[in-house]
Amino acid sequence: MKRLLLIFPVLFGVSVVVFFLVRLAPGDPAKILAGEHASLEYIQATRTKWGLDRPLYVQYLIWLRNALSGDLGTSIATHDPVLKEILGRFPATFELSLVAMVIAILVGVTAGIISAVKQYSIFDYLSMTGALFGISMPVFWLGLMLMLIFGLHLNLLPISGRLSPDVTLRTVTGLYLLDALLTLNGRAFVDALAHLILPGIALATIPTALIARMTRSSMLEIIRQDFIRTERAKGLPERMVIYKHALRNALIPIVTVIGMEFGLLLGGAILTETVFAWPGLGRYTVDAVYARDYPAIQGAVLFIAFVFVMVNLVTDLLYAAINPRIRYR
Amino acid sequence: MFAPKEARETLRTLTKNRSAFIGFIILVIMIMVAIFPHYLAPHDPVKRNLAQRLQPGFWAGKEFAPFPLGTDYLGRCILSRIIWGTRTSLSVGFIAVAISTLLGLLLGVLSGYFGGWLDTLLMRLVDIMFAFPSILLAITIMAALGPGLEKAMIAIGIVYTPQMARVARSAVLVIREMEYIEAEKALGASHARIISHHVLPNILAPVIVYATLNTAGAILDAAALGFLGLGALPPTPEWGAMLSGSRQALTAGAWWAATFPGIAIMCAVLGLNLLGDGMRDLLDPRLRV
Repeated sequence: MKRLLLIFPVLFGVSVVVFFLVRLAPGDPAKILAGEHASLEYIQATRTKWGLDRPLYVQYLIWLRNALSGDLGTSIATHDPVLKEILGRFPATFELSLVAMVIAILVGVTAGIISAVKQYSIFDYLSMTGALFGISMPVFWLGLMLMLIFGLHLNLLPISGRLSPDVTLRTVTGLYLLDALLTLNGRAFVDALAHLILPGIALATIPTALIARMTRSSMLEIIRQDFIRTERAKGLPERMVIYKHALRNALIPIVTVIGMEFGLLLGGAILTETVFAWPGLGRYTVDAVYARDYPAIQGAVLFIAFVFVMVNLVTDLLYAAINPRIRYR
Repeated sequence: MFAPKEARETLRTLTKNRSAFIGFIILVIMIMVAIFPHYLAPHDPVKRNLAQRLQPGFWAGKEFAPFPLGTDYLGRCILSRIIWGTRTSLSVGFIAVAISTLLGLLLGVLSGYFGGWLDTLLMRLVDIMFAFPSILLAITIMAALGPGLEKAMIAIGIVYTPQMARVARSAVLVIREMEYIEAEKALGASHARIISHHVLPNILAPVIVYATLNTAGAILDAAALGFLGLGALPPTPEWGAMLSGSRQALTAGAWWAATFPGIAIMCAVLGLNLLGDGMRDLLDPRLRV
């Protein structure tokens, strides 16, 4: 409960940072709003119209009040409400992150368990070397390399966007895989999946590496403990010992890492989306920075930070749920 | 700070840990390249030669040997740009981490040593900064500051500060309860003396390990900013910025323009990660991953 209440000051602080950081930027926002060749009178009128002539803290309070009621302002570049644009793009980022997370958990946990059970084997050595390379590679470069090999060289997979231009899909949730299933559109499902593979792998690399390392060290620690020796002495089959007893206890730190990584995926998505021209929130944020579209930057950063805080909260609660030794008061 | 004997001791322990040693060697080579690029680079890294754009390198035959790793879309020598880029990328990494380490130490030590409302305030501040994915915070700061290498150093330095503050704080919390600190206090030592003589030297080990690992992260983040066009400004040779135009180069068939700068980034980051992991194993075997 206390943990829940703690997020309010954090979110408040986040809003202060986002608002003032973006307003710190050089350049007069009224001039940017009015356009490049606007007359002085028009700039002045714009300033009054948007309340930019009022003290900064008043502007902040107005912005915060609007943000709380779901109004993140209007994009300078497109003149659309920022929240509408963000919500339109969020499913793309969410779907990509989910796919990356599934890949990372499947590959990472499996590799970690095998490495721990067969410590110092060839597999252990190779997967830990692979993990080290995984965390040392720039995400965007890996994206470019995947694109080069599988997209351009072998011509196996599409390298940009979410769907091929000739494939139509009626959007229901914005998650294309789910939409294709809901509308029983097999062709769109295959096409959307093909588009997800390369960016999904690129985005999954770092979390996979970290999860594999965490799983391995966590499993190694548990395997050496007395109760596992007892289980073995009782004559329990090795597979039961590993999966039923060791893995369950090793899971606690693994879940924490997975939760942390899911938040970090949102950051990684910014780069992956740029490489693969993925129409998500990360790409939107970067475009807003290029266009100096301040309401859009503020809105997008606030939204991503909000999701990040929420994911961390859920992780903490999950952590408490699977580990009875930790209880938040 | 280290007596020569201790330095030798440290070096000897380091060589015993194979991965740390490899990391150390990679780092030394990188630093050498960063110090002496003018002796190593075959060409001027910023000189354009449009007649020679997107030329392949040594693999295409003898006549392409003047540009061993080929040329980019402006006909600049990729090898020379990578060599000069070592200086850019390493300095961004080191300076950003120096900023974050100094700031983080200051905040963490004050927070951990004095505790109370100061601790609460500073740690809430750290919580707020942790509410942003690091690259997003860096991008937002760059949006406020405008592009440029020095600004990227500041942005990344700020981004890595909260983590360092937490590391320093938790180390201080342990030291603070030690009996010798109690003894110093009883002898009437000032806070400044206790901090500088007893607290700082004893928290140095985790701080150095995290500084090393953070340098790896800082180089990656600087490259990411460069890639997004928010870091080093053209024509500065910087590894990330070298990759930013390479999507077009890829579709034009010039794979080398996109491949080699990434390998350079990976080598530097790999070296620092190996060194950092190795040092962590030495200092705290329990944390071995």
